[in-house]
Amino acid sequence: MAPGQGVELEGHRPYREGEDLRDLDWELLARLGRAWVRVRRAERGERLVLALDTSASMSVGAPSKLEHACELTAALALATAVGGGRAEVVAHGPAGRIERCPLRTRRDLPHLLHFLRQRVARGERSLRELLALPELARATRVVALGDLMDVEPSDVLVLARRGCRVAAVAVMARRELAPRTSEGIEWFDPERGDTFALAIDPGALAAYGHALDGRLAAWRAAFSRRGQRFHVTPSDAEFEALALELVR
Amino acid sequence: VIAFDRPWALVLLVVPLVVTILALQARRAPRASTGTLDVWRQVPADAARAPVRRARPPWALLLLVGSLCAGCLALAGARAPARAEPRWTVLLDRSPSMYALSGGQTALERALEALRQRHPGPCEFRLVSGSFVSAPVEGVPAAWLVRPLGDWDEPEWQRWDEPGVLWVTDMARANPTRAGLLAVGGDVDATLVTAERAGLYVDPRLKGSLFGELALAWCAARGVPWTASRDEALHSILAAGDQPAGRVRCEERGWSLEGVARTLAPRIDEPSEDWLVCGGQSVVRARPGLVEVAWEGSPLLVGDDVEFALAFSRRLDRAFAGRVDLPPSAPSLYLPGTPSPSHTPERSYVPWLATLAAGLAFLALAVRS
Repeated sequence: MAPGQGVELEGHRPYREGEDLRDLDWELLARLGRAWVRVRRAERGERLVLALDTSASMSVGAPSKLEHACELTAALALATAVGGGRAEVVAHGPAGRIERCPLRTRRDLPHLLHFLRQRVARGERSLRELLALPELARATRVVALGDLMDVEPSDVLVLARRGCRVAAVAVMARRELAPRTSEGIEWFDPERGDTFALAIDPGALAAYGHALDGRLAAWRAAFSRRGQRFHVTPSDAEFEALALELVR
Repeated sequence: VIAFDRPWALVLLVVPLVVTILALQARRAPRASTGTLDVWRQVPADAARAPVRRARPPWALLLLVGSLCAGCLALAGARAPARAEPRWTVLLDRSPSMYALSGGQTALERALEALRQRHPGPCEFRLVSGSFVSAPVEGVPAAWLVRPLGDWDEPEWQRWDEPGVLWVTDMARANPTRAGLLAVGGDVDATLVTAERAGLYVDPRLKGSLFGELALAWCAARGVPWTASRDEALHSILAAGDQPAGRVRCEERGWSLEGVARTLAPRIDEPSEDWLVCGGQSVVRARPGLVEVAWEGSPLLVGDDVEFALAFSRRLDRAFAGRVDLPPSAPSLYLPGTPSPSHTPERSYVPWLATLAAGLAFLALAVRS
């Protein structure tokens, strides 16, 4: 079976803005007057590659963004393997080299968990470097997990083509998504060591929220135009719901 | 410089250190790592670029830390130990006569030079005028060598008659009993002298006596050779007089002599000058080329021996005037032993430090409130 063609129809669910119109069930739309999309299940032969960002900024949050991303990674990989597909996780290792961990059956799960436990958020390991790996070009599905602050939507969407769907999950700490008012704070970028001190008042919060919303909206719009998925999740949120959403 | 009665209490200095660290930590803006630093940088400057750290110095903290430090030092019993090294406090007379030139130097310069040559030990110098003394200095400033302007009062020497104090003057009007004295003199009239050299004969019977020793010291100071032969000498000092006339006492400014004197026969053939008269009786008499000393043995000198030596020296100067080239009168130094270390007694800083600690703590509270 050719890559990207191994998906099996599982059912339907209401269409949400930004979803790939190729999944839209036009018959149901004509018949019911409401938009429904086909929900597919991974089938034997699907090849999922999960690109996991392990840069130092992933250490932010409690639990850290890396922990949350690892939980999502494990869930997605396991779901793919259970569905008969093949998953592979690519990430930078503690020494900074790119490492891979395949998951073909559920028996490989302990190995994957061990691999994920060894991930350390450190340095300026670029997610862009992972997205340029050749195995991603052979995948039927690519999921990029990270805070996505060092990549642009085009870096991920370049992988989207016929037979390969991509998804990006922006894992962000609660304090990044909704910082609280404080007399003063010194933000520290663990990746580059930069600091930025400022007084946080409602005006600053509003400006920050506006800037962040603008950035996320740009991602969302770019993915929506290409019919791909983009999700934002706090690092302290439950991962199961998003995992289910991504599996569908 | 500082000693401590309870040095272990210095460990308490850790307290202000810890307080400082904690306070500075508390003052720092909390640091939070973020992956959205670039987004924060997009926050417009007019929205929130207020500096985090306050520009105002933490006065309350500084005062509190100062108070704690002072308190710790007070608890440790800080004190200035007694100065181990004996040190002379040299009081310099700044009377106008100290700046009169003699032999190309002022009396003050000659005194300081004599002091350097004698090396009495470490000194600190003060100017004295009336009851005022200046702050001590380690070395004599150049400004002190110039005659000062303004009024001058006769120093109240008796106020400074203490062990470890050295008076430097050309004319001490009081007798030091515990202090030392560097007398400069200064009444030499250089116009009276000629280039002629002369020898001095000292009667062997006077050797070891007060006058005999002073005469020899005078010879050494003035560069006058002395000779053992009276025939070769141009001037002689002889023990004279016949029968002991009994115990006599005479007194001049600052000193007195007491002893047994012999009777000097009156001279009618040659004019003579009485140098010393006790109870109407001449006990030292001079005429050209001869000084007669009528003391039986050595009289007891009481009081200012330097002043006495100077007085006798001046008379010898006059006697030799016109015969020898007299240099300016040499300074005479009298040092009563070494200065006592108790001159700089131990001083406790504890009351001062305790007061300082309380004051700073009060100020810190006031600033805080």
